[in-house]
Amino acid sequence: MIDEAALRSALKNVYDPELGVNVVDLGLVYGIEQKDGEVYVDMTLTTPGCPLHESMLKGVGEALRIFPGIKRIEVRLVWEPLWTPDMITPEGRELLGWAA
Amino acid sequence: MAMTPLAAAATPTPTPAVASGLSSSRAAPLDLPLRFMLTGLAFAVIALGVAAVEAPAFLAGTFLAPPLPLLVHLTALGWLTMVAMGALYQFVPVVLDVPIFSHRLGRAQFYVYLAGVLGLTSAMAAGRMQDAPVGAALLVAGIGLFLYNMVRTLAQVRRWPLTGWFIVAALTYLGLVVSAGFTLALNIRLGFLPVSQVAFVEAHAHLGALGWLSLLLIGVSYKLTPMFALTHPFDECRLGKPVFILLNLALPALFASLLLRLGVVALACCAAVLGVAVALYAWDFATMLRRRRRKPIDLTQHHNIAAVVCLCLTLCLGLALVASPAGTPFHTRLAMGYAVTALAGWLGLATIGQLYKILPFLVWTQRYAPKMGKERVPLLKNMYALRPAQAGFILLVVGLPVAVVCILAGWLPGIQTGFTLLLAGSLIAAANLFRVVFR
Repeated sequence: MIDEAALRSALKNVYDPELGVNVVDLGLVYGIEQKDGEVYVDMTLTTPGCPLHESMLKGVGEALRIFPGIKRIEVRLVWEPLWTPDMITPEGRELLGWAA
Repeated sequence: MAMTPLAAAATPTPTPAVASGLSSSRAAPLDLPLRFMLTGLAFAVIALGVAAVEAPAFLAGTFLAPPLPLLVHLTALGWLTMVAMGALYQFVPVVLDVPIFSHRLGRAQFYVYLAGVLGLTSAMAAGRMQDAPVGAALLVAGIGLFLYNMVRTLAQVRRWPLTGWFIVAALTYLGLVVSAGFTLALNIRLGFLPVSQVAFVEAHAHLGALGWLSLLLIGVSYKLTPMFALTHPFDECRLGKPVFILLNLALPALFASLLLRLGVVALACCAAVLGVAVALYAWDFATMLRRRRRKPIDLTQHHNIAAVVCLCLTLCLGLALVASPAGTPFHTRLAMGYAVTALAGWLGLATIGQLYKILPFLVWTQRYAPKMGKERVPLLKNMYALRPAQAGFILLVVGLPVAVVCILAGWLPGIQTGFTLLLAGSLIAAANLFRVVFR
């Protein structure tokens, strides 16, 4: 088992290129599961029809490849609960110029 | 939790296999929208260059005297419609979740359409109107192929957001405006319709600028503005639906009022309904920005704000046009100012603003998306030079009111100065955006 904090830290290298905030601080990563060497990431996007959907999902998968011992990574796009800006972390809000 | 269908499981590899929730890409290949957008940008520079050189035409007293028809068609067909077609090839698959029916047809359509624009405008530029039907026929064919491709694409859509309805309406008006334009060209030659040529031109122009281009821009902004500004929650249908209904009630009535010369009262009624629609949209647009969570206003939004201000000014000039006595020199200059505010201000500024978003995105998707998660990749806003882009925007928003006010005042040096500023602004935008693609 890999420490989830380490996985989340790796995902902070994946940025929304429009907003300039990483997927973790944007609150897009809903959950990370590990089972028998396989990693499952449940994530959402800021809006259905986001033009970056494919790049973001692939980027999340690529970012986790750095960990040895993972046999398979699956990134699952979920729409429930629907993302809202309230899910952005304080760090993300600061980057967006949005005072908490 | 609702999930999208998962991709196939991985095969054994030395590094972990990655499966994402999207099994295939619906996005159009980069070259399809790109060729339309870059060509449209080039036409923007040409159109504003012609306007700067031929500035005395704005005081000529009629829309039908050369080179104004050339200028209007360079702007409406070469610049605005060219960019709008490219944007739809990129936007429809992403927002309506359907693949474009045929990319090959899209590429072929580009060449037919471009040949049509070049044929028609070169005939106009040379004053050889007898050659115009060849270009016009190619133009009709190019737009016909585009509409066929879009209809086959939209036939696959399963979920229709408000933006989708705006797109369908805009495409319907595109079909109508090209039919009206072709009929107008035939009527100039054969004279089979008992209507005034000026009336036909006015009706045709409103169908294109308001029906095709404005409905498209308003519909797209209902999707893109909240998305980029992080305006959540935002109920796009609350005022968006009334805006859609009012515009589609007013437009056919306006077309009939202008074509059949139904009089000032009919025009005033149409203008009032359009005024309510524009006011509701402007209010909604302001609300989207007021409630945004992403505080800094980016370059595209600056262009969009200026464009919506121009839309409101266009409406005011349109109302003044209805109220002022026809046939006077000031009425004609008012009509010129109205057209310039609508085409170069509302439609032109919004189009250039959107290109600052779409072109970097297209290039980023091709060049940097495969590197996402593996290495640091640039942000979209870092792909163009910000300072020159800001300078270009300032030139555009200064040049436009200078040109329009001086047209209204009938002062030629001011008109030349205004269009020279607009030309400089468009040149900077074009150079900056071409650099994004080719550097």
